[in-house]
Amino acid sequence: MQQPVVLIGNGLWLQMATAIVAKHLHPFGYKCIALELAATIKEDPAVACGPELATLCQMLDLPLQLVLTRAKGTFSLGSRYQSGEKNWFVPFGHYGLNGSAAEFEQAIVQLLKQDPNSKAELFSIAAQAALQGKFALAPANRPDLAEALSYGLHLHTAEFAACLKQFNQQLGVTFVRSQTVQMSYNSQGQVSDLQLDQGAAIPVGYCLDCRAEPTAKEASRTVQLFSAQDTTELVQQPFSTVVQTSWGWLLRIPLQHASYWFSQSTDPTLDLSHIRQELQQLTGLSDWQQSTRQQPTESEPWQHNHLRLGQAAATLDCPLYNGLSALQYLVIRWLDLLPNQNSCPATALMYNQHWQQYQSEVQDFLLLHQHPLATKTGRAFARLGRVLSTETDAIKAGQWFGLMQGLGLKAELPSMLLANRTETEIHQGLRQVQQQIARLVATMPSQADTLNRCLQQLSH
Amino acid sequence: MIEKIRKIIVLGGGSAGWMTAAALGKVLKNQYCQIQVIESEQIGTVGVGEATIPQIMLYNDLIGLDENDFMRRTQATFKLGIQFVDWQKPGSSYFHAFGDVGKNMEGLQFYHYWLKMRALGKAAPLDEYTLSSLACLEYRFMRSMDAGNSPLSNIAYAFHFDAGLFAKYLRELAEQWGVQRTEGEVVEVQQLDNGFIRSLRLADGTEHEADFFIDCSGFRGLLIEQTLKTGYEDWSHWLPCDRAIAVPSASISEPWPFTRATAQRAGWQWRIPLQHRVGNGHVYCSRFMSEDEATSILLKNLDGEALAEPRPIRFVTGKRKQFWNKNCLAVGLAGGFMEPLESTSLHLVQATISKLFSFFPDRNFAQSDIDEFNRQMHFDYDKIRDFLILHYHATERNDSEFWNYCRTMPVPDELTQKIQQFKANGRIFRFNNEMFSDLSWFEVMLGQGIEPQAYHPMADLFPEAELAKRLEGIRSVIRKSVDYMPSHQSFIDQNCKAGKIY
Repeated sequence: MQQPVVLIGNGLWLQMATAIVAKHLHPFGYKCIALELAATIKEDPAVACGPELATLCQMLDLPLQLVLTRAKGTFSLGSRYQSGEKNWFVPFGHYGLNGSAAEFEQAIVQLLKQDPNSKAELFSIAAQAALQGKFALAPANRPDLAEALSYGLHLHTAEFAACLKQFNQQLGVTFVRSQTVQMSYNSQGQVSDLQLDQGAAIPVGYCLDCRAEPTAKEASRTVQLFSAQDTTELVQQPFSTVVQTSWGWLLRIPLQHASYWFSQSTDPTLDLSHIRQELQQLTGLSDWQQSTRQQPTESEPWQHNHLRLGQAAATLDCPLYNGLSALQYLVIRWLDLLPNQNSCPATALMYNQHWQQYQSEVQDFLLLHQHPLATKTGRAFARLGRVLSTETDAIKAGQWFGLMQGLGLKAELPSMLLANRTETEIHQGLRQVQQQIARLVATMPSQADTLNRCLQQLSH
Repeated sequence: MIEKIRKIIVLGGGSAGWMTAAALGKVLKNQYCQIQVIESEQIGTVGVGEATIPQIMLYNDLIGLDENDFMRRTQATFKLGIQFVDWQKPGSSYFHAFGDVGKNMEGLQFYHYWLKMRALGKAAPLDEYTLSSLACLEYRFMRSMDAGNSPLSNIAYAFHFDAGLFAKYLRELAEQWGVQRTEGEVVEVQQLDNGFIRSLRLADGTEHEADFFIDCSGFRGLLIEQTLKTGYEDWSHWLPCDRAIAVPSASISEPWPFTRATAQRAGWQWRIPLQHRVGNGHVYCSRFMSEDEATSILLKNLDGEALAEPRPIRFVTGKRKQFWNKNCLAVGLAGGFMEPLESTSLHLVQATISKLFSFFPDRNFAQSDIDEFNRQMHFDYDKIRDFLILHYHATERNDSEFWNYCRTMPVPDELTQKIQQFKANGRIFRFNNEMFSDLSWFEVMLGQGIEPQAYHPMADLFPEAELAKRLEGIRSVIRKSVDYMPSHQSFIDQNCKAGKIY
């Protein structure tokens, strides 16, 4: 492939995709061009990134400290959910201290059934640390703890995009601006070049389209978005907050000096003034921004040399699941197949099948929030207390388990693999883990201290 | 409200029946519900020498098997992989070895580096970077030891054992754990109005009721098919072999730590070394070869003298349309049959048992649980099927009608895509829960003669001289590790030597 890889879009999604692609292809001498188009959708001011971001930063050689400083970031060990009087924690990491401990979650399920006052989060080190405002990176010699303490970041979107843009420029990415773009196709249906404003053209090897907006031809649904800024400092909160509302869910992302609230509704019959009123009641904030966007559908993002990654990621993007995670997945998966890939349609086909599976797992996770028993995952959990095995890593096992038990799904049937353990044995085992977790958390620093240390390291 | 299962009947006492009964007995300890195995000594089991894959360890752990005791009792030997002879073309040979191939570097699979250096004429054969293959070639074996980063810390292995003795051994354990055995032949199956199975009537007139029935009755599927008419998906257009002839033979040498699968004119021949004898069989397609000819080929190719009359076995490759239907679960051959080319039969038994524990029902038999169970089982079967088809389809053999058919037959789309992708760029695309790893796919695709046109470009990030040095380092570590391993025979002698039978 001699022609450049051209990435189209704007904002954080364009910068993130460009960073991953440029970093990967740089050693092979590929040319990357980022075509920045005028934004037609306003980006959310803050973004909650999952644990894949830390791995990604490592892969990019992008210091986490730099990201935290530039993007006014905080750590995230998961989400604290609130529904009426009830609250629970959904960690990124696994429960217990040994990710491969057989039937550990089933023991928790059994305990919760016998003791409704107990809580699953007692057996999650991430939840215990988060709820006490603590955060620490697991020591290098404790890979087990690294898994249990998987963390994401809360970041200021525009600042993070700016940080990545600088990184991309240092990598030698060529940035081009245009108001419009038209694609020209060759006889095989491949994008041959991009026509920009005033007759300029860019030849294309691969076109990675990071635009989230659906084109007029494509099916989409209308989404009402609500957001607000809150100046309360939440630096002792290494988690996001998710609050149930009458129409869905409300997310709060804490940054270093402020936090942001987001919600969305897809029901066109809802009274928007009623939503604003409820938002005000729940948050005490009156200054809510409201906007509308079209959410596309995209199940076959790879067509010839054109990958509609933005549209694919946007199918899943909502306050409860950040489309940036999907975009990162799509780019990395594609890169794993690059660059000697041009003429193998089977690869695009399998890539699209894999994407459909990923999409379906995330959609299942999102649907769980609204109608737990309408999903096969929810039904299986309500019967068996188990998280069904997944074909992709879109949602972590701890997230599935944390969400479903928190939503109140209780297993009807006991675990047969625990059938030969007495109740006392199970409770003792759980208590031991709980004590170990409590001891570990007691020695952890607060998020504020860890953040300060990170920021100081950078200034040195 | 849970309506506990009160009694489970396992019908059939071959490997599948006793594996299921032992696992149920061990886990449920006969306290949760009653477990009964009904088997008839009049009905034979398929029970030829069985080979396994490393996932068998999960089953052994589940029932807390003492490995050395199990080996002694079943005349078992260790297995580090499968040698495929004459599959790509007559005279060819390769190993599908368990465990690692080389050592991954910079997050990239070793085989990309190897492909690059091989293209430059600077790589040794793949076997020299693969501990298991090299150990197979030199008849060596040991279990993993605590040796830091050494490949000796991570030796993946499985077993060859006598299936009849295995069933007998598991029966003893199961009975110790409270499983009740009833001798008898089923003459009638009673059903409830809703089609669920109510009871089995035996030839002696006794009737046995249960809430849940596990059909391990073999190919005939007495409950799942003959009673519940579940239906069977026939795969013989993709896996055309439909007969096997099995015969034990005398050992004339130390047992090899691998299974050998040798392609023949209309099928292939297995050779499974046990401590007391060698298990042999010829799997063939009756459309292209007669039983007499198949038997003659088998007998001609035995290493030692035949120890019994050759035994014919008939089968149709495929799977049940549902593995779990109403209150009946099919395990083993009752659920489906894929020939033993990659030793997956007992793995599928174990996978079914493992899923049974995850989806263990009550008397309500929630259809959503059953549907998900079936979905997962279909996934397992379909992925293994594609891997098996690969062996037949990706061949250069054109020396018989059988191979011409296999080479040119249409194969499932997903397999076509996998092959095309590998050919184009040496990559293997798979989902999380596929049983065979990318290494397995790599070894077999390459061994069958599919040559990738490219390797991952990340392999170019190492300068050639540096890469050559690293590959040589890996080869040298593998060589030293294999030198450290004792012979397979001496490891058996020291740890798990069985008493003489023949």
